[in-house]
Amino acid sequence: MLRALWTAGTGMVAQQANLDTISNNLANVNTTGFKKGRAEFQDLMYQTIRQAGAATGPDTQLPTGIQVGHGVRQVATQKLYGQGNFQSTGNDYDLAIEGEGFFQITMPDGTLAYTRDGSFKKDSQGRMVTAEGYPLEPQITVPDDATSLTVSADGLVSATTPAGTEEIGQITIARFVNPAGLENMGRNLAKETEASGVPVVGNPGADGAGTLAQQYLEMSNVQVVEEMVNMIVAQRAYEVNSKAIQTADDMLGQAASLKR
Amino acid sequence: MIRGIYTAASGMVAETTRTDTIANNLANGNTTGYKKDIAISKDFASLLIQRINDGPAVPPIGTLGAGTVIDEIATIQTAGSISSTGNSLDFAVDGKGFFAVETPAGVRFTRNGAFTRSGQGELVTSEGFPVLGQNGAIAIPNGKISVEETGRVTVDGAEAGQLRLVEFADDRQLVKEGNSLYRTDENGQPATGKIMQGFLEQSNVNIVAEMVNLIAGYRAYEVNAKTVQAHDQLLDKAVNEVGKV
Repeated sequence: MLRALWTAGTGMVAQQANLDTISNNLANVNTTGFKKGRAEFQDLMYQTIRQAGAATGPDTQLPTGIQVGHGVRQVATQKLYGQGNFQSTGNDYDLAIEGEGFFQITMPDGTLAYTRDGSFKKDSQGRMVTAEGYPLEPQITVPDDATSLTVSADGLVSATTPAGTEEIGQITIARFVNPAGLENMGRNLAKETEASGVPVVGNPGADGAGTLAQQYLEMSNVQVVEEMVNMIVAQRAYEVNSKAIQTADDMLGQAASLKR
Repeated sequence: MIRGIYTAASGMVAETTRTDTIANNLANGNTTGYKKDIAISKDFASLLIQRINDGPAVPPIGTLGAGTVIDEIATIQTAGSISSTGNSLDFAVDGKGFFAVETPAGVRFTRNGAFTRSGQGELVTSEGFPVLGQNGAIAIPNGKISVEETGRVTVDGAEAGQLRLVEFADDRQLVKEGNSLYRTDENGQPATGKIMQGFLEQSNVNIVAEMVNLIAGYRAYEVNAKTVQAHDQLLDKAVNEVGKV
């Protein structure tokens, strides 16, 4: 059958994936610490009908060949780790990372997960935990009688109790050579992979790591306008590909009706 | 049989290939760094019609074409529009030039500058092929990467390498390989284009023009189909009516 049918079909599939990514970005526009994704495309293989450079005579060769492409494919959904906006919350347990790095979270199975979502809470044992109840690593335990909690820009945590102020821990953050290679697990958590490289753990502010801002949350870095424009582009690209399929189909119809 | 049937059919075949090419352009209308293809057709070498049985001194009575064939599918290397992404590992080339990429099959060239950092800290394409600098792959440790227009890469102010940007005297020698890559036997020369960090080059496909081409191609196909039908009707008459008694 016509190559064009399949070629245009790949275009529709690719734009569908593009729209899926855009929808996910828009759905998470208000998710704390969410990083937007971007679908990336490349052209598919080419069928060589006539090879450029083939000899056409003793001293002559074809300057150009005939190659027909077979459409497009999605190669990656890359996460873009640009900084999100900060929102002041007034809550002592809200932390934002200004710059590179992730909070480390201990999962129920003992492994570590990474997040930019710093909306921590205190659980019944006084530990700083995520909204899901997973503790921050290294663990910070806040005394029962603490009246306020202070986190410095370099991660030093101190609690004020009626007895006075005491240091109760140090928050460290992990950085990756290639954060885009992290595996996203949903629920604002990501996992280390071979592509991300191993985490480099350090104090906030040291060796280029980001600093902490207390009473602030990092919002998602999704730009609604940008996503809406991408959505329009994706829809139109989908549409023209469907037109190409229709045209190819009409051509087949013409060929079929040659014989009456 | 009637020569016109084959002539018109060659037109249909050529328009099919043209539609394939347009469909590929449309499918890649949103692909970073994609360059559109156009199908160029030419007429078959015109046939010389000669009078038969005229002896050795045959005077020609004119020429007759025998249809069309796709002669070339040319890649148009004009610049695509450049859009801002704000991502520090996105590069666009303003002007002439291709990034050199090391693939298992050898050095390839691309205009798709949506790069990432690998787990080993090298600058790689989205498929994981290292992007080449003047001295092999470019290692970019953790830190703030910055690329100058000339392709000099620095990380936190320290020099990390120099991107290899090449251009070719004749872009038509570049063969598309898919995956945004081009292959060529030439080595090329240092390019004059400037590297823009935080930008990506969109494909240079003009959707409106492609839609017009699609319509034109379709109509050309249609008239050729009608010609085949007309010739068939002639044959029908010749076979079924002329001989009727």
